[in-house]
Amino acid sequence: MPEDRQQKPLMRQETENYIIRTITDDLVTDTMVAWYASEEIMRYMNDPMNLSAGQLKNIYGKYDGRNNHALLIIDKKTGDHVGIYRINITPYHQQANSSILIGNKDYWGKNVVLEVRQHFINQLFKSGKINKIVGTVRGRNFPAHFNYTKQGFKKEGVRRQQYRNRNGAFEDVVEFGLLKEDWRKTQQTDKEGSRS
Amino acid sequence: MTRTPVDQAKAIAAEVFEVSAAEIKDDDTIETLSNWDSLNHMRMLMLLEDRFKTTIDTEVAMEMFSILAIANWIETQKSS
Repeated sequence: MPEDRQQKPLMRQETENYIIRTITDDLVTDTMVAWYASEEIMRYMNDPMNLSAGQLKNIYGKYDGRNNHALLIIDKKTGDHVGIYRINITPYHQQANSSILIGNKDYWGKNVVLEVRQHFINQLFKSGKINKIVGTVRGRNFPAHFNYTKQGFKKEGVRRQQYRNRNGAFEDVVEFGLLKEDWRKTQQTDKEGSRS
Repeated sequence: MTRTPVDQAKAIAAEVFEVSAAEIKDDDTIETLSNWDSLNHMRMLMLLEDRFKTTIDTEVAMEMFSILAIANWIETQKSS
């Protein structure tokens, strides 16, 4: 194997209720294929739909496990596959772009996004290598607006009619950002709150 | 008796959250109401669009995280 093709580092993390693991070929199952075939689940995603297991393995195999991570969210108790969390890091700008897909509809409205993303927000900022985390959300993706706002992200702008959705209609896109200095303030507030 | 926009906002929130309107306060927000989660947030905005036969603008939707903000939006619908 050429030296530049080192083995991809695999990530495994835990939150209170979920295991988050690098997507390896064995984790690309019919469940994930079904997510990509569902218009309802993929409504706000930019990914192409109706991908085969082979195509998904090829896409997720390209994440390098260093600056690009594609992770599967798994319910600790049931082992159910819940969704996909992706992080792309731009080291020079000390910036991380994250996106999340909750493919298992049983977990919609169950705060999976808040729990998983908060884990990575804390990790990324504590690493000392990230100054800003950003997210891009479709204008009609009201659940995502809620989650980003709840986690302290600021709306940095709305790109009007930025994309066409799968029905051909133009949709706005909202840019969210969370700075390390803002995150620090929330940590401080949490500490003060826990003392009272 | 005509209901105020705040009362209407509380009634819509109560309908979505499946609680009594009396349990919702004028100054409630996404931080204070445990039933106000991401899914219920979407349900509430879609119910507002349905009731008022309109589409909520993205910029406006980004402000609707409190009962008072929803009441303000209802007020604009009445005057438009």
